[in-house]
Amino acid sequence: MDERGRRFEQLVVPHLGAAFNLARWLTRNDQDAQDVVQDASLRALKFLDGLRGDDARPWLLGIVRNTTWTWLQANRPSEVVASDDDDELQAPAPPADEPENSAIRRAETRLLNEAIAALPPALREVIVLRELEDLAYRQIAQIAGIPIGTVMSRLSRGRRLLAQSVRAIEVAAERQGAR
Amino acid sequence: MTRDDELRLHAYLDGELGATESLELERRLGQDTELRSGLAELRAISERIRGQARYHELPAPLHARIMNQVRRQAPARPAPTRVALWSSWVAAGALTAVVAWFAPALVRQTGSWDPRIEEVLDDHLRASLGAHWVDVASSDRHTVKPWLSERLGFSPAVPDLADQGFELVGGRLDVLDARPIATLVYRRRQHMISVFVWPRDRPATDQITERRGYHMVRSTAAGLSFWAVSDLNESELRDFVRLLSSFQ
Repeated sequence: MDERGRRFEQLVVPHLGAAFNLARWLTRNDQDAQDVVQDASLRALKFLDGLRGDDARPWLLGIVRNTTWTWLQANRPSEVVASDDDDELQAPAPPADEPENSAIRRAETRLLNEAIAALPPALREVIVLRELEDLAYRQIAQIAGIPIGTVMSRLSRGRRLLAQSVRAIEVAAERQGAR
Repeated sequence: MTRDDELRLHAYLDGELGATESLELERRLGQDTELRSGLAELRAISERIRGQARYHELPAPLHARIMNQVRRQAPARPAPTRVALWSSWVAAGALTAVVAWFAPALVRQTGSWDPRIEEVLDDHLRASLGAHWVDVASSDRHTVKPWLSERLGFSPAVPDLADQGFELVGGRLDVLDARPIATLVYRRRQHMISVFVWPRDRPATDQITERRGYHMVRSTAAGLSFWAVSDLNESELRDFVRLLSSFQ
């Protein structure tokens, strides 16, 4: 393997997990996420000289993010309608089939994951980058190519919607428990 | 609550508020119950997401595909210089002389060490360092063989050698000379064995050597070349290769 290959292995490969997690949350599909990450890593290899410093994670996530959005725009244009306006979005409804008592905990986890997946991608990505990757606002702004103010408002909207979903889930669980 | 206050709470929770603003907010939090409950709610949802949102793990086959891509894009390893070939020939000859004395059964030919030997060893080391042994994990040979043959133009026999003490762990894809090759992975006690398999492409005789603390045994059978690499002791590795070859 040449110098570039070694550098890729050393700096980029450790963050392929984060790359896949982001692509998987944005595409909501295993196979699509794999295609996107493979494509993005080829780009990362090609543009490796553009990486400054040793922290490749935000840099790689930026490439993955852009590759994913391009892919979404080409393959699922209806999902990426502009969501910059401050429209009140509907929190996902509680499940029609209420969870069994014994499985409430597991169901809550599943429903939270469904609620995140149901967020518009522009909100979903800041939630994933902040809560799962623990990145700073400045880094999220760079990755998503948006101002820090937009990171803050999207994060706030995303969390507010998820909090509503969780409340709805809990109400449903309580009703189930009281029965 | 005002919109500014809400954004301030998020920033405070995320450690993004400046020192002065943080102090000011903390002072207000002490007096304002609405602000306090707002912060508690945010903290609860944030912790819940962190605790319950799924972190999607990188699939092993994707990892392997990307690594293969990287290696394909990299130029081939430069051919060893004449001096390097000569010295490895001498070293190999010396080693063989010693080994031959202990193990006269194995045919040895030292004049044609395959320069790819280092590449093969690198693949084994990389697998061991990343603990990424297999792309398809299975002790069932009926799973591993079709998985490999689907991805390659050839497929080695994948015998079940558990009764002989070699447990099948699975298979993975590696790259040798810019071509994908099959790697079978077996385990003997705590020792992992990588068996690199590819269609025989040049005349080769059975060889045995030790590099960087690893034993390497080369063999051919049924038009395929095998190279087994492990930190297992030499005689058991040799038995293993003999066994494996007999199934081809």
